[in-house]
Amino acid sequence: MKIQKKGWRGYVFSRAINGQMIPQRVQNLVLRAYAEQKELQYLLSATEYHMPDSFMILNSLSAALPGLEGLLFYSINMLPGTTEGRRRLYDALFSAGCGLRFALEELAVSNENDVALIEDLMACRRLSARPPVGILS
Amino acid sequence: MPPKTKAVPVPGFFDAEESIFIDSFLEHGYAIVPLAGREALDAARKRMYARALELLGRKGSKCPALETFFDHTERFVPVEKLNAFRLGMIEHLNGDALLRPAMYRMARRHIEWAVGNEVAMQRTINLSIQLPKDASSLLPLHSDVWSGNSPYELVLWLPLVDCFKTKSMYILPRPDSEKIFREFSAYKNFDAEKLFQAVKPKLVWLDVPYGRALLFSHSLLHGNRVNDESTTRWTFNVRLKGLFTPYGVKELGESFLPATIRPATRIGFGAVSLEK
Repeated sequence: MKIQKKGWRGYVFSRAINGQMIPQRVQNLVLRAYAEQKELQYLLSATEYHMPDSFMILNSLSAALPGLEGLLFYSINMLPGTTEGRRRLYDALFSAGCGLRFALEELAVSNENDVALIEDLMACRRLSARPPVGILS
Repeated sequence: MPPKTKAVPVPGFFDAEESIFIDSFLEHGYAIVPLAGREALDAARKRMYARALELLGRKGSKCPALETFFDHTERFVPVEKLNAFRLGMIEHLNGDALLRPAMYRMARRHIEWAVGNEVAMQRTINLSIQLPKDASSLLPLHSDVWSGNSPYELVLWLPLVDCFKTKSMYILPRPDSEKIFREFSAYKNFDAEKLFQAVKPKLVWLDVPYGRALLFSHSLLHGNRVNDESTTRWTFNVRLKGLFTPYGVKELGESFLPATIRPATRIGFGAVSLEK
């Protein structure tokens, strides 16, 4: 029996994202505004644990994917840090017919071309650091 | 100590023309460059014109000629509707998948000379429309770096009309801008207008005709004033930077996307990801 897909499950962090603590309320506001702008049905967010590198909540969402249109992350900076971890996520999403969206960056992943862009971004970001403060410092 | 302003500590890596460009860019912080493939610019302008007429509901005999429309937009868009019109145009141009690559290709030679050949490009193209005598869309004297943008970014400023005098923008060349940065404590309680008056004699007003573009470091002080000429200014602008140079408040992914990644880098990415 085909399960009817319904909505985009939000996904927020309770730990720092790219070195910054973003209040969950702010993360959720961004998700809600993005979903509204893109006319997506937004489902209340799952909150990842604060322990470093934990993706227990994300992994637990796998079971619910068949009933979802996809996952809505606050930012691409919340993706698993390893290539293998991200690959597992993309495979789980695609095999369940789901998409992945990032509200802050307004990026969407629905096929391997989109994955290639995200992976380029992840690789390039790893290689570039924060700028110095000010012009002449 | 002022930065070194020579292209090549070791000679022979850049050809003569490139070296001259680099030395000049280092000295001034900007360059006005010719655009390649003028037909792509003409085509982009035609698409903009068609969309503008749609937004304004003009059909048939009510359509002005393209040149008339761009030069005299004030006849068709009242100031109070300018912002909504501009936002409608921005939505259109950022839905135009051809525009970003076309802008890059048109200025590619000089972008590569000034930035490099692995480049990140801003995801959205900005549009400025400055009607004659309109004080509602001014950009006071500023450095983008003062608001957290990366000093490694350059702006490609590309006019859709001839831009000159007050219809254009002004810039404070690199030596003078850097003097302000070094002596900033003397200016920190000024407002933008007072700072403008203080540096006014040193400002350069940039004449950029249609078919050319301005490439400049947005760390330099720059801005515009009321357009006192008789015709309207239309300009695109977009930021570019070395893909692997540090990012500021405009991050890779959120505000920038890779435009060009070379094979050696991709092979390197692959090799790094295989490491345990």
